[in-house]
Amino acid sequence: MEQRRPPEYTLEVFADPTCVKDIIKGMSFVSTTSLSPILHTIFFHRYFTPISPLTRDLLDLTLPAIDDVDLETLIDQRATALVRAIDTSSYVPSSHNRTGSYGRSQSGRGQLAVQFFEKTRRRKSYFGFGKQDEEVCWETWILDVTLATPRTDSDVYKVRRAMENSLRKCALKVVNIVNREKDHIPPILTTDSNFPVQILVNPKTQEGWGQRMGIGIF
Amino acid sequence: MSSNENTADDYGEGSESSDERNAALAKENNKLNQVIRQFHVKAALTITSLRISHPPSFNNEGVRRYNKWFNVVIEETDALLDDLAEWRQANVIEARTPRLIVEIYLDLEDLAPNQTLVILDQDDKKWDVREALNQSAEFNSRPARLSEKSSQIVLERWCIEVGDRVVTDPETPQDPLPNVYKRGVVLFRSLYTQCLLLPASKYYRNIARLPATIPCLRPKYRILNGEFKSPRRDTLDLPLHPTQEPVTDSYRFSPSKSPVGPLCVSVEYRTNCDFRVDDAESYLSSQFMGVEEPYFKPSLAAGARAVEHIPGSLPIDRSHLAGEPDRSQAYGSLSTYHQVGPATGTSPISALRAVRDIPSQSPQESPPQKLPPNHRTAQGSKSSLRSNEGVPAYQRRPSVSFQPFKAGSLSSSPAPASYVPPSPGSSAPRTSGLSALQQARNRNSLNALPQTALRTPSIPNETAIVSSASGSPKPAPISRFSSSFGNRRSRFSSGGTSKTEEDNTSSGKASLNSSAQRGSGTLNEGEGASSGSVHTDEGDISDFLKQLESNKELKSFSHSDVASRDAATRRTNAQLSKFRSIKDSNATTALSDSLYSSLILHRSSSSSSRQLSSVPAMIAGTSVSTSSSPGKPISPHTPHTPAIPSRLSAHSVLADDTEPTRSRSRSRRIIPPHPEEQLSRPGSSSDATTREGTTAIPIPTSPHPWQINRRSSSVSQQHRVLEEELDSFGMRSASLPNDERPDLSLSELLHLHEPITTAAGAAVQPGDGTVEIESSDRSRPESRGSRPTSAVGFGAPGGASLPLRSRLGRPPYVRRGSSSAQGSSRELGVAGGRSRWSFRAATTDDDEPLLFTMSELENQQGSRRSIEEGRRARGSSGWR
Repeated sequence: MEQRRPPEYTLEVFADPTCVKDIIKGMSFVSTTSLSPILHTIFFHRYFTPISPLTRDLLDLTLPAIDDVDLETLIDQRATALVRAIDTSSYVPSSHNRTGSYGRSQSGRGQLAVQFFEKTRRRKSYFGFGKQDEEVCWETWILDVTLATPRTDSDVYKVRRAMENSLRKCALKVVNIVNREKDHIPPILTTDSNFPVQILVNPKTQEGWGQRMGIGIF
Repeated sequence: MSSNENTADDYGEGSESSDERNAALAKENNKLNQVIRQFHVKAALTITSLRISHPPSFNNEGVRRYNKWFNVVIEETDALLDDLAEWRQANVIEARTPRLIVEIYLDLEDLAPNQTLVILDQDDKKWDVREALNQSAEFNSRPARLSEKSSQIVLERWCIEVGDRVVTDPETPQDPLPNVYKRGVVLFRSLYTQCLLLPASKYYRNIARLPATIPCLRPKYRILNGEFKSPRRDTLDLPLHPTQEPVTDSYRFSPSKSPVGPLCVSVEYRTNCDFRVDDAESYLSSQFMGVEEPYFKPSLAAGARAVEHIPGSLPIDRSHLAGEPDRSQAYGSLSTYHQVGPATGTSPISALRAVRDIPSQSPQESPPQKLPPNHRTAQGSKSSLRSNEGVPAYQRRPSVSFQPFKAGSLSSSPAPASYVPPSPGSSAPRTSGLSALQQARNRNSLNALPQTALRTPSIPNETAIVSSASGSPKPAPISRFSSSFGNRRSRFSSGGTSKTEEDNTSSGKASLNSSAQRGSGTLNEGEGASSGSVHTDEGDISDFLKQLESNKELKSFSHSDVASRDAATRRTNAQLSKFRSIKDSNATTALSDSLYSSLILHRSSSSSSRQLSSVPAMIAGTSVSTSSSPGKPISPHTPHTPAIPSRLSAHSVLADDTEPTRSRSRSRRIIPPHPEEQLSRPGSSSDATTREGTTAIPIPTSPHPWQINRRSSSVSQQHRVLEEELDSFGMRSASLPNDERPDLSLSELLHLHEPITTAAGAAVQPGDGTVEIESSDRSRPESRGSRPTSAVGFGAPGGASLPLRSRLGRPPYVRRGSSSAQGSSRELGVAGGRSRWSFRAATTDDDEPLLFTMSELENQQGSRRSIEEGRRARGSSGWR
């Protein structure tokens, strides 16, 4: 468990950027993007402290969420950063798959990486800000995010449907993985803190997580 | 709560054990026992709390208690205490824990009497759940039990069980308890998420969103011992609507290892939980709506019954469409025949019904009226038949009504005519919307009639009648007759204005002939009455005037409606306008000619076709007509024939009033009218006395029904037409859809009479439905009783609630929020006096710690830690 390569689970998320943009504008805590619910779902299954589960409705789905302002902020920041990155990268032909000919792609792809760490030291730290060496990643979730911008009403409907399907599949996949893979979870030593977490935006295009994160957030 | 007690007991036992090892083992077992017990309890709580709104549970301080087991904090409730007593007290070590079954279900008995639970399929089509349940119950050999259980639809069945120990590895006993608990935490996380993702959750959320004013059916739960077979009928996999997708799906959580065997959670769930609570009537109407929207429009006036019938009759609509064209053609033929009619009228038809016709011709309106009444009576009988048949479901109504109508329509159609006169005033307003359509149709027919009348005045009319009669009689004489009557009726009631116009045009021609017949018609039509007054008797005139007034309204409505509705209606309107202009000009002949031309133009193809078909009848002459109309038809024909010619003449002379009435009757009759006349006449001749007598009675009540019936009748008529005049239909349909529609309207009008009967049947059916509902209500009380019991159960738990409470002295606000994890630690310190409580608190705190500390730490340590953890938890909770 300790030294072996941490398992990496990949989720494919299909998102409507309009939702994300709405979030960006309003910076609403109620994330309407499809990213946040998935992230929440992941954290719900990986935060082992006692949780008073919340439920969030998105489209026709209800997913669990954690009533944690800090975590919520982190999730929204990362989701926004990813959307911006995709939006920005759409101007750059080289990055990821870009179909837009005029710079703004109609669809773009990005990636979020959620990493859970195990502290080698017995030290309490919150979330993913720990940059210490003693933290060892024990699990990684990769979210392959595809953004699609519907142009017509019919497209909007299709995208919505696709989003819902993708969300449902992701949620089910999370449930299945979490249910199936239990042995690699490091021993839970305390009930008052969770495993450190980092959320990386387009980790493969970034050299440093923290750096990327900072950029993404701000 | 139970966990607390259990833990306390466990501790007590542990302390009692003399040997330290044994004590340690006992403690370990106790903790394991507690974890397994709580696993079951927590699973049931998690599942049900995401499906049902449990009454909250409070501690001594009035603070809500939360169940923090397995690190999922959920509001605690006492509702499950009794249900879970078996598992809360189970000794996992010594005996296998029984399977815990949690069923989430909907109980139809919770519905109000006027509510229906429907399920939407993938196409958003509604399906009655109760119907599906009852149908499935029919297949069951145990009616009694089934009937009792058949009101419940199981949405989900969860199974929580401890797997076979044999399966467990020898290592498992050594598996530290904290790891067991930790895996449980993971499992409950996914259980919670999965609960949210299942279809039943969506249903629950939708219900929660509904305003309190909107009725909904809240799911219930039941907790069963899986070791006993449930006596209930399993409705989980009962298909509620046809679908290619499986009714149920299942999900099995990966077993969580434990020393006593794998902890398994699985669920079998209904994939479609898109239930709705509908108003029973609206559901029925909506079903019909979906089937036959066009009918609904006309039926609006008729009312829910008519609507229902209409929905059922969807096919009928189509038939109407087809039939309408035919009818229009028939009308055209009729009109042509009408022209011929005079000659025929003079001879054969008159022979049978000469008396009536003759009177009708001169004073005559009265005779015709009488005839219609007869028909009405006949219709009434038909209606009764229909009603019997129709009594069944709404769906049945349409079908049943149609067939019966066909036969009945013939007889009924006359009745409608009779009804029509009285009804026009009353019926007209009601039917105005519907009638407008019908009127439009009628108008078309009327127009056609006048034209025909103009073209082939007296003789043709008779022949036409004969032909129509013959034509229709062959396939379905009765229906034709009825349709003809319906036309008449429609003319009287709705079509009056337009008809009057047409009549006016034709009136000149028909006036003489029709005066008698038309006179009757005029009575109904009212407009005709004014002009017709000359022809008709004074009494008739007055009646006509009344009718005319009503008709006028109808006309206006009909015109607007017609125009708006369909191109056909537009055509009719155009025709009507032409007729109006004709009326204005008073150049009846010219008008009639123009009308004819217009009619011809519109209906030409249809009319020609019909004429062709009808021609044989024509050729046959009155004799043929009589033959076609065999028996009854013949006599009617004769009266009709004279009436038709008279109309033509009368129209020219008297103009609108008499003509309209006549034309209406004729127009309606035109295609169907002839048959109707024939029928009615035959009926009148043969059944005349009886019919009349009957008609007289039915007339007053009938008008409303007529309207309704008309719609339904129209459908039936269409069918009839199809059956009767396949050839003509083809012609008609080909000819003019618009005309067809008008024709249909006429036929519908005729049918209306029948429909009336059907309507009555429908009404009866609704009544049945209501009866059923009532019965359901009756059954509901039982369910209600059950509910109360459930409520009682809740209360009981609260009262008996937890042993802890009982021991403690239970005030709901137990001293401690001890149960609440946070408070527990503090209280523990405080509670020092209460050994048990402290233990309990410790245990509660331990619940969380158990995961981590259980294996490592002993009870005391655990308690300490638990306290600490509790504090931490508090802090964390605040953080949270």
